[in-house]
Amino acid sequence: MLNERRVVITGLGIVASNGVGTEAFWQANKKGVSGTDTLTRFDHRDLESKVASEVKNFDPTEFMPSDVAERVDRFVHFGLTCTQMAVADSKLDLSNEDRYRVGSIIGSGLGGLLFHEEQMMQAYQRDTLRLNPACVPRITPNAVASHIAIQYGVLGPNIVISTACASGAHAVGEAFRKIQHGEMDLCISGGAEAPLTVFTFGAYNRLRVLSKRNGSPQEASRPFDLNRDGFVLGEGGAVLILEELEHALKRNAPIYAELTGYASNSGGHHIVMPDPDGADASRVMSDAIKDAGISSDDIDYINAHATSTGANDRCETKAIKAAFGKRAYDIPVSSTKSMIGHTIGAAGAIEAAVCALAIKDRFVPPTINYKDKDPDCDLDYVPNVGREAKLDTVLSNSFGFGNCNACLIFSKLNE
Amino acid sequence: MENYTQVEQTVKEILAKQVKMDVANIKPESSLAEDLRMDSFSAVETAFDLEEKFGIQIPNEALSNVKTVKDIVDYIFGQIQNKTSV
Repeated sequence: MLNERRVVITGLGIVASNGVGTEAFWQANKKGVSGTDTLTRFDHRDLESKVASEVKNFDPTEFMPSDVAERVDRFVHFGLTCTQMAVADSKLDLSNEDRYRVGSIIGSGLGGLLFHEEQMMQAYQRDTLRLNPACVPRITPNAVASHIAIQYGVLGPNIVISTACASGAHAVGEAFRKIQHGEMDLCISGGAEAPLTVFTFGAYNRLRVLSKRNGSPQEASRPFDLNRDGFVLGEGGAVLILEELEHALKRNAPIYAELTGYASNSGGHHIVMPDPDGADASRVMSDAIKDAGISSDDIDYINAHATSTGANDRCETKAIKAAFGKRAYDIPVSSTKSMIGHTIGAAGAIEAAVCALAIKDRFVPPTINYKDKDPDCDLDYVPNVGREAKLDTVLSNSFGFGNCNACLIFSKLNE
Repeated sequence: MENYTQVEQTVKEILAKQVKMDVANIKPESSLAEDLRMDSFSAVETAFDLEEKFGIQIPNEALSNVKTVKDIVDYIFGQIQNKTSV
C-alpha cells in the first residue's frame, strides 16, 4: 500500500525576522508583529526599495561550534540553527536511531550568496588565483543539507531542493513522500535562505517586485490589500522533524500535527508571472486535498503564499475560489509574509511550521497591514487580528517563480 | 621584513587554527599528514591562508613537496627573501 505509513511533525525550529526560536516567532505571529524595517545590512542609497525583513540579534555560535560557523554561509547558519532547535524540541536522540533511516532534505532557492558575491568581486577586481579554495563547498546550495548531515551524523537521503519561492514546501513534501514510501523513518526537513546581499537585493529590486513603501517599512508587506506594491525580501529558516507515526509513538515523541497531503505541479506559463487564471494553483490545491484522502469541505484554514504582489495575491484568490467554490468565502486565509516578508526558499518551510503551530494552538494568525479592500481579493484574510479557531485540517500554498507550485495539507492527529 | 622565527610563529598559528590544535603542540618536525592529520582539502585551505598572510603564491608542486612544518617555513622564508631581493 502506497499510503500506509503516516507521517507526523515532532519538532520545530524557526528563525525569522520577528522571532528567533519557535516560541518567540509564534507569539509574534499571533500578535501580528512585523519583523520588517529599513534595510541596514548594506548601503542602499541607489535602491528604490529600502525595506527588508532582517534577522537581528542572532549569534550562530550559540547553535553550532564556532569553527563551523566561521566556515559556512549565512543560509547554512539558519539551517543548522533551526536543526538544533528542532532536534531538541523533538526530544530526539539520534544516537539511538538507525541513522541510515534519517534524512536531511532542505529547500534553498539561492544558496550561499553572501560568500559568492564577495568572492566574485575578488575574481573581477583582483585575480582568480586569489579566490578562496572553499568557494565551491561554501557557495553550493547543497551545503545546507550536507552540513546538517555532517553535524548530526545523518546517513539517509541528503538532498537540497531549489524551486525558488516554493523550495521549502517542496523539501517538506518530498521528505513526507520518502517516509510514506518507506525510504526513511525520520527527516530533518525545511528551508533556509539569506538573500539580503547587495547583488541579490539589487536583482530583485530591478525585477520591480519589491515594495517601495520606504516611509513606513512595517506596513510595506500588505498581502491582499488594495494598495500593496510588492513583496519585502526577508531571511530566515525553518526545520520540521518529520517522523513515521509508529516510530514517533514508540519513543513518546511530542506531536504537533500530521502531514497528510502533498501535491506539486507547474503552470508551464512564465518564468516569473503566475498564470492569470490560477488554474495550476487551483489544481495543486485540489490534488493535495485528494492526496490527503479528504474533501475541500474539510479545510479549516489556508496559509496562503500571499506575497503582497499585485499578480500573486489576485491569482491566488482566484485559484482558491476555483478550488473551493462558494465555500472559499467561509475559510480564513492569511499571510505569514505580511509579518516576516518573503524568505524565498525558506518561506514554504516556515509556513508549514505555522500550520503545525496553528493546529496545535488552535489559532489562526492574521494578515497584517490589511486596510483597503481590493475588488479582486474578497475572501476572509483574517485582517490584522488573529483568532482562536478549532483547526482540524489546514492547507499551505507555495508558488515559486517559474510556476513551481506546491501544496501541503496538515491535520490534527487522529490516532 | 620578517625574520625566520617570526615566519615560523605565524605558520604555526595558521596551522593550529586549521587543525584545531594548541599552537604549543606544533613543532618544526611535526608531519603534516601524520601528526597534524591534514587532508588535501585542509592543505589547500592552509596554502590559501599562507598566501594571503605573506603575499606570495604557492604553486601546486611546492604544496606537494612539503611534508613537515619546517618544510613550509623554509619554503615561505625563501619566497619572502626572493621577493624582497627582486
